Amino acid sequence: MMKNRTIPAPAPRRASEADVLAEQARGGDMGAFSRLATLYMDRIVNTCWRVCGHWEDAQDLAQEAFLHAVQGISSFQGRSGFYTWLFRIAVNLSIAHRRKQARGPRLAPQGQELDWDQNHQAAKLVGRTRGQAPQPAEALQAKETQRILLAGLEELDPEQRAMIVLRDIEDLDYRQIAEVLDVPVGTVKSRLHRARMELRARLKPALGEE
Amino acid sequence: MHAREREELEAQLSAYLDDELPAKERALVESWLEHDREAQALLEDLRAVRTGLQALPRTQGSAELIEQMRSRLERRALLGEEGPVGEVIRTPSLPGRRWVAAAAVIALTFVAGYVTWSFREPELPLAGDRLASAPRPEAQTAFRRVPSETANASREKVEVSPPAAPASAQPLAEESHAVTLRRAPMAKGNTTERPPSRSPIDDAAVAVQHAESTVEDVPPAVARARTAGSASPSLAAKPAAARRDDAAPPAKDKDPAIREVVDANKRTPAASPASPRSLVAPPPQPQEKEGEQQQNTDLRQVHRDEPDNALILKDAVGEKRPDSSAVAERPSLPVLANRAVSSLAPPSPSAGCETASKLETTSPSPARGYSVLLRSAGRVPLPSATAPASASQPASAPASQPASQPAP
Repeated sequence: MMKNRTIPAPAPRRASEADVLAEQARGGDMGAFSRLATLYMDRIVNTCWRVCGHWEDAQDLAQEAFLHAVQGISSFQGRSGFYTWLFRIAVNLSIAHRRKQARGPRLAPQGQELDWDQNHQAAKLVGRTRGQAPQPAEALQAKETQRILLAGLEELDPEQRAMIVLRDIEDLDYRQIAEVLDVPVGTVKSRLHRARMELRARLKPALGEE
Repeated sequence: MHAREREELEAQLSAYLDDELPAKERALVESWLEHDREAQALLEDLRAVRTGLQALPRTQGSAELIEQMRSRLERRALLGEEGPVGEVIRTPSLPGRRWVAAAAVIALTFVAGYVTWSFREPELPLAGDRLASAPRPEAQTAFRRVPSETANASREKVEVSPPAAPASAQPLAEESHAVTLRRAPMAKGNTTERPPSRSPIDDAAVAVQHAESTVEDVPPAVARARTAGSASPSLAAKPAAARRDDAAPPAKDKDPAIREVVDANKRTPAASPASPRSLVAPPPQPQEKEGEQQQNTDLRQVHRDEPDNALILKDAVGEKRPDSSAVAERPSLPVLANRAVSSLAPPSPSAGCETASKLETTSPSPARGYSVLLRSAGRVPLPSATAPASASQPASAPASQPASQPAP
């Protein structure tokens, strides 16, 4: 009945190293903070990208998150992981940015689609080099599924969207998500289930065809 | 299974899928999934959604992005832009800048005000103060010819003047520029009217210097007159009527008809309390004492005998001296005014002052000489020697009729 995860999500593998670097950065070591930025930049920029929905904005938001982290590094108490603290900054910036975009005129999704297409092509290229080239029909169906998922993510509210991203893309557990979003674990459980149910409802036609 | 229990179990499916359920709840969900195929299908859908989300492509944070962030950190640290390090530098200095800016504005305001006030300060003293202080070297030279009593009297005249100019002073100012300039400090007090850069006082000072070089000795009659003037009220300090009386005798002594009219006027009662003359000068002395009358009579005689100081100055500078006999034979302004008094309504309050001023300009008396020097000190243009010709026109007589003159 239970199946293992098909795609293992990246875990905070260097938590201890990050904590040491964070402690050095608190003492004013900018080199340590630079190494922290190198360590977590990929995850932060992808999280911002999936939450805000725009790649260029995600890059700016990721840089802004690190600048905010440098500004408030003295307030980091170390009671939670540095990456959790850094994710909180990045997700809050992305949620605020998305809310601002929702109040203003909606940006055209061409850039996002372009990024999506480019990344999809890159993923296929990586799979071919590894000898796992998908069949054309499977690749087309996977692309269609991901397009529907992205469209469903666009319809979610920022908090649900952030939960989906933190759990299914960044593979944070419920406690970490609760720390990042500053909500109880039960709230994370219920909101995450509702978000998945909405995405399932959107994917129902595609899933029924399978 | 009730619907409520089913909803609770469905809510646990995501946590079951994420392996976030405790063992007890996990056993309950597994037992439910074994007997319910819909629950199994739902779990498969949720797993597919999660698989699809995990399959979303990821991008690599490029080294360029990290380098951009480092450059932004350095820029904020160096240039003090909005950022962590820059904010640390800017936060304590921001209130200081505001205080310095506020202090600079206040200091600039005070400096500007002081500069403005200091430039206005020389304009504040009155004409009498200018006579006493003599701020310019040329004026000092000119003031040497003025008896000290005259200057004091001028100051007294300023002091006894009413604080506010009478309403009728404005039309008077439009008629005679010389009179306006002389009377403006008396009426307005601390007037700020700026004299012309090249004022007649310079001309008068030059004339006085020439006169000093040529006329060294003052005639003894004039000296006696100055001595007598120190004991009696100054000519300038006297009311306009008194000055007119002092200035009139040369003309009325020459013409018996004029003397008759003037004597008739003297026999009439003095000015009424509502006389406009009382608005600009204190009421005349009720009665002169006998000794003072004799002294004034001597002074008038001296004034008649001695030439005009202004004429002396004009002789010194080489100007043509007007014929005194012609001036004496020509009817003077008070005579013409007295002749026309019968057809006049009560004049305006300023008419008295104007008449007195014109009398000073027309009568070739020592009072005119003193007034010339006073005008020079007050930077008033000197009236020309031929000016009385236009001022003595009969057409101007009604406007210059003193209010104290009773209608016949």
